[in-house]
Amino acid sequence: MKETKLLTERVGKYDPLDLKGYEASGGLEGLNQALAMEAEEVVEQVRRSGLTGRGGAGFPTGSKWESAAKHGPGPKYLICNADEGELGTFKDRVLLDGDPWAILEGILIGAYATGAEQAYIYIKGEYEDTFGLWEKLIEKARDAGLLGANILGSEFSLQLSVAKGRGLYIAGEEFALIASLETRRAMSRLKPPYPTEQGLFGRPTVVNNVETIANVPFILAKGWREYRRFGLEDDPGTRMFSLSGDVKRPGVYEIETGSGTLRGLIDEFGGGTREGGAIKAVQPGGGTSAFLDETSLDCTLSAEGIRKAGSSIGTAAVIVYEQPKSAVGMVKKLLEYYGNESCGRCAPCRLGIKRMQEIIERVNSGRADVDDTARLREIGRAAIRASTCGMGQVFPLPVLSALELFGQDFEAAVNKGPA
Amino acid sequence: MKEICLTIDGREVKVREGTTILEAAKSVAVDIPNLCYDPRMAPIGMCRLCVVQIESRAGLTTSCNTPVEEGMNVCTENEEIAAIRKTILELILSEHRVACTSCDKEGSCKLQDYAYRYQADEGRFGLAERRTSRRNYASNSEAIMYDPDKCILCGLCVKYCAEVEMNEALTFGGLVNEMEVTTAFGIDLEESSCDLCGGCVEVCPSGAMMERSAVGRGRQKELTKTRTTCPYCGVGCQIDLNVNRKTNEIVRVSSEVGCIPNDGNLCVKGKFVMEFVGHEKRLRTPLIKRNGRLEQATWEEAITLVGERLGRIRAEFGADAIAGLSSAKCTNEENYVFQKFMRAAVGTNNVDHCARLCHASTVAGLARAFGSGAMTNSIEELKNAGCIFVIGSNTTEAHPVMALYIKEAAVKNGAKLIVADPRAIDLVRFAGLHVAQKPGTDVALINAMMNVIIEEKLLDSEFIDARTEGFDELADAVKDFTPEMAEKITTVAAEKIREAARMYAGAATASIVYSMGITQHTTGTDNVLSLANLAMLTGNVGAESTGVNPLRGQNNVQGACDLGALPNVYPGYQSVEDAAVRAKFEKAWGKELPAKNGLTIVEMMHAIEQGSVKALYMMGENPALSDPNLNRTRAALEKVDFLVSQDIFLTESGEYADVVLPSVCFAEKDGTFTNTERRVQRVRKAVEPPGGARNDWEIICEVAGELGYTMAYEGAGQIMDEMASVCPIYGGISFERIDSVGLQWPCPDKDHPGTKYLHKGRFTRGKGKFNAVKFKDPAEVPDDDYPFVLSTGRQLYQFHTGTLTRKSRVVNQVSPTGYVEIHPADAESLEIVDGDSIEVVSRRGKVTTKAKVTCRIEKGWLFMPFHFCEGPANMLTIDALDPLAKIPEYKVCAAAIRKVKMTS
Amino acid sequence: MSEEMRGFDVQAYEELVTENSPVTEENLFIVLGKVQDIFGGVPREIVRDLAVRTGLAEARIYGALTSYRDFKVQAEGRD
Repeated sequence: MKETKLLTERVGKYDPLDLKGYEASGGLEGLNQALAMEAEEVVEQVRRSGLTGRGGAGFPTGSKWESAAKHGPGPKYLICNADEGELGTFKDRVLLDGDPWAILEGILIGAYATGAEQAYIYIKGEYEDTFGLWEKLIEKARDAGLLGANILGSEFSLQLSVAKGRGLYIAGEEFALIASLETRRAMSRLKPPYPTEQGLFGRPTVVNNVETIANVPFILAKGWREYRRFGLEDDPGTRMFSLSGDVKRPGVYEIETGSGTLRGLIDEFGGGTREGGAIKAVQPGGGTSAFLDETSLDCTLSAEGIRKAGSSIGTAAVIVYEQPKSAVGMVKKLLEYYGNESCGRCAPCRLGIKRMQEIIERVNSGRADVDDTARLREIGRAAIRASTCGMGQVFPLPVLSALELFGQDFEAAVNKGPA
Repeated sequence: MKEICLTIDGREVKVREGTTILEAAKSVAVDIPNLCYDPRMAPIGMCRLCVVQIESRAGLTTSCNTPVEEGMNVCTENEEIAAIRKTILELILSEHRVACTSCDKEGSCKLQDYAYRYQADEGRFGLAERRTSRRNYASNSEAIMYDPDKCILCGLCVKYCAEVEMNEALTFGGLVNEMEVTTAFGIDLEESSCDLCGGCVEVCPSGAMMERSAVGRGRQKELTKTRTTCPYCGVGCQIDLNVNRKTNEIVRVSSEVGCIPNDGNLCVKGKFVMEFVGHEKRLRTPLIKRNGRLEQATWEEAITLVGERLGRIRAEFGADAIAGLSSAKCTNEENYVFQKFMRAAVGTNNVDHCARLCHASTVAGLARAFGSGAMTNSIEELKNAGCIFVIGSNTTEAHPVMALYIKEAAVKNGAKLIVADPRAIDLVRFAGLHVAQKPGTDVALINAMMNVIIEEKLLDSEFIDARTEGFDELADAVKDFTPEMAEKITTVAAEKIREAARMYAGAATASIVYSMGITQHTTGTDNVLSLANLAMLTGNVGAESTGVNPLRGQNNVQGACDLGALPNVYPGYQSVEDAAVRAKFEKAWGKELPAKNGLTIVEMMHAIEQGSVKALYMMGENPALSDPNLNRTRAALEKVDFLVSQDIFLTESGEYADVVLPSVCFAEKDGTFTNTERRVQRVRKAVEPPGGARNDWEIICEVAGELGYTMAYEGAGQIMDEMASVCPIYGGISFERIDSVGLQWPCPDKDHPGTKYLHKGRFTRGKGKFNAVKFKDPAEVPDDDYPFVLSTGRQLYQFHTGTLTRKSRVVNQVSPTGYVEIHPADAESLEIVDGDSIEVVSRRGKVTTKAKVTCRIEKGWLFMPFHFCEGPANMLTIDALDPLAKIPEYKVCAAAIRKVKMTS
Repeated sequence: MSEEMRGFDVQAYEELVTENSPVTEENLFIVLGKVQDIFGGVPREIVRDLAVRTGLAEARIYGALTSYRDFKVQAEGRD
């Protein structure tokens, strides 16, 4: 297996505040190409590139842009979602810190294509330094004529504001993120309408993940055909995998879609498990993705490959659990994290997470009753089937998959009795 | 609108396009469970109980927000959905303190009903811990109680406050696991932007929010609901009195979503201010003044005495020495009986009521311009108006539920809202334009708007040509009245006047809404005529969502006028001076009737002063607080030879009476009120009256008998039938027809559906008449001695003379005393700070009250609410009258203020 | 700024508002963030002031702030 550095090539190669350095390594070519085209052509380029969202939901980026672009006069917004909160995910930070001008370039292209004149980048609160960097970067960009009125002498104008996340996982969900920027509680909402129809302040809004946006300059600079030479036909490009958990070499690895397996990623890039033991389980798409056990690790590294294996690619955050961990402990840790992160909107999610957390605590401490696994399944079904957003629909997946794959761990804990 | 055909649980259903699945299911009696849905608000979808399965759609779909689609096949419940609903309910119950044993909501609780339906086990996921009993935002509220332990965080209360009431006093607060409903910083509800409309309580599905006064006084199954009409302002909200028959108490007031005209919405008064009904101070027996003191008497004594004294005065001085004040608070039936009594039994047209003091100029002005003096259009039509021009109406305070429609139009439906008011009233928050004209300069403002409309050719020539007359005179009169000229008079910038004119004239449909800021002037009729001119000039009459819409202030001021409690007309605005009409009534009533117009209220008082009126019969009126220039009014009440007060309380006026007769209040009787949109609605008896109090009409009939004229009815319904027979606009109205929804007059016959808006195709008088109006100064303008312009008016929590509202704990908590609003700059120059005791003085009197320093008002202007007997604003007001309508100028007089020196 | 705003550095706040003028719905979240970062919390007086400036309800802003772990609301200004 090898890395394909479509997005990460420049990372660390230039001083992040040095626009010249960025330009010297081929930066801004995509923007220049875009500004020479009509906005619709830019949208078309992205649409034909087959780029899909890298924030978890995997929606086609071109369609999103097209939907926002078709709305007539009046304000529109573009939001770069840099609030990566999914457990095990730290890929966006690599780009934000290591090649920020490419993100800015992607934002500019996206705003130009969709007709947005105000953009926001919403950065995870814990990334204090990243936030500081971006505040400075925006000033530099303004001085260089890359932000403000008539960008690079064109008719196109854009303001970019940087907002700091305030410690909520759910603010990464697109509606919650929009609500946050509207100074509301970070809550999801019913859809339709989608953000591209009624988003920020009720106006058409594109919300794109950092990694998604990072693909855009390449597509514009080299053309969609060139982009599609990478990766799979129906899932082109690369994926930045955040590898963490019980591996020797955690880190971010950029891999062409479909060009390797989960096991290859863990063994070849991650150097195998930390203690050299057998793999107990893997979450391939972040902390809310279903567990895969050792038998499923030969799946292809693509959205489809991982789906077929029984989980989802999500944010491509691969979390590895080594034997002899108990699934109960694994699930308990996850729920400790997610237990406070529902937006509070859908009853089965808001209450379900908490109750699940309590039940797992009980199981873990040997105080569970015979009905508790049934309770977990009931909550899981209600939350998955009846919640509105990606949070409620997925948080039970690790729990349910653990029950499925590692039922004996739960039985053992229940039977053990209190310590 | 397109019809959509779909299948719900195997049944074919046809509904309008845009209907949600939930509503479509409801239309075929399929009840999809929900705890956070209310048709008045955008679906929020928090409870997730309403999920359904749509064929060929992955996943479940919330039915509350999903519109139906052609051919859709919906399954509202299968095994999986039922199981999910059960789980969700069990999860909700895990944080709801299940206290059904002691909960007031028990038996009327949606959560309880669903828990039963799905056999949800409240302990399945653990029983809710009792959180702390720490103070919350409603702990100190007299109106509302909030129990966070019962709150299921459905969000309905927060949404109602934001989307319907548009106050945003409530919010979710706290991190997700400590989430609760609260105000900003948890401040007391009464200190927040809350208006105490109680909508939050009404929508609460779980018993977390309750009316504080209702707690422990009876659960729903012990209560009987009686649908009736609210006794406060003229909107005519339909309310349900929830009465505990065992205790004869109104435990709570509710209202049904979907009812006309208020769609389940209420204001603080309708919702919370009913304590007066069973109040200990209610009159229970007649009182007769003996040796200067009112003493208890029997009905027989009292009626005999009234008959004797009135008879003697009539014999000695003639029938015109007797005057009667009917009441805008009483029913149509009572007003009808009262005016018939005055005209047929006593023999005089000296009958009037407080409409004289509020909308006499409307009746005079609109009759002259259009041919009938009432709100031209319906309340509901405001929702869809392209532009709403609110002038001289503090709608959110005086007609709160009406204001909901205006806010909805402006906020949700994109209507342009122009607010013309000297004060920055609450409605200004929603307005595209606020025009703060100096009090008493409305004609100048409107003339200048018309100048702009004509100058910029924004007028509707087609309408003017086809439907009106007198345009040339009007055009001539406003030709030179430029916005610049008006700026000098009104203090409103010329450009703003132009903008207002363009906004109003530019809308596809524009509706004028006004109230006493227009009518209570010596130029009241002129003001009304000007608004009529403006509407006709732009073709904004006689069509949906347009019109000239006076908001009537009392529950039945419309009806009291309609039924002839006026000195110049019989029921149905039929002139007493018209011989043919008179002959008709003489035949109907079997008595010769007086031929000349009678006296108006203020004229009655002046006639008492001069000695020509010797007796005054007051039914439900309180001139000793409501009339202008109180010193003069009170002197008249003191002087009159014989004074009867027929009322539910001993009022300020009653103190002067020779005989006081206890009557029943709205909740204790049957009848009808006519609301401001001409809708005749039922009033129904819900509780037993206190002591020996009797129906007004029964009392009047007995007195009539003493005077030798027989009036006898079996009940209010029979009176209504007689009314319908002599009053053509009510001709088709009967109790049966208005049993569920009221009818809007004119309704001439039994098959007529009522009239939604007036003047369609043709004005009542034929052609609409433009009346050229010249600007005139108010009767009294500020000078060196009295440098301020004083206006008076209403305040949200109080009503009229406070007789009803000031007995309420809820009201007394938020509105304990009167005040005068003064601009900070004026306050500073007089060294007055907020809350100081100050004296307000006019040429007619002085009162001591509190200063309320606020930027709501402009420099040089003062505003005082008039409800407070301990600082009565009407001590100051002037009794100068509009020459035509005889309405006094409550809105403008000159005043001075000074700080009350503390004596140590 | 009303006189009741005291107990924290009013001048610093005023500078912040000037730098971000006009404060509207569009930048309120960012301005509140800066208030938090500068003062270590968001005092009630500032919420009230920003509510007036933006035309948003105080309850709305309060409700929003309290939903975020990294915002602290302060009932009274700090000394």
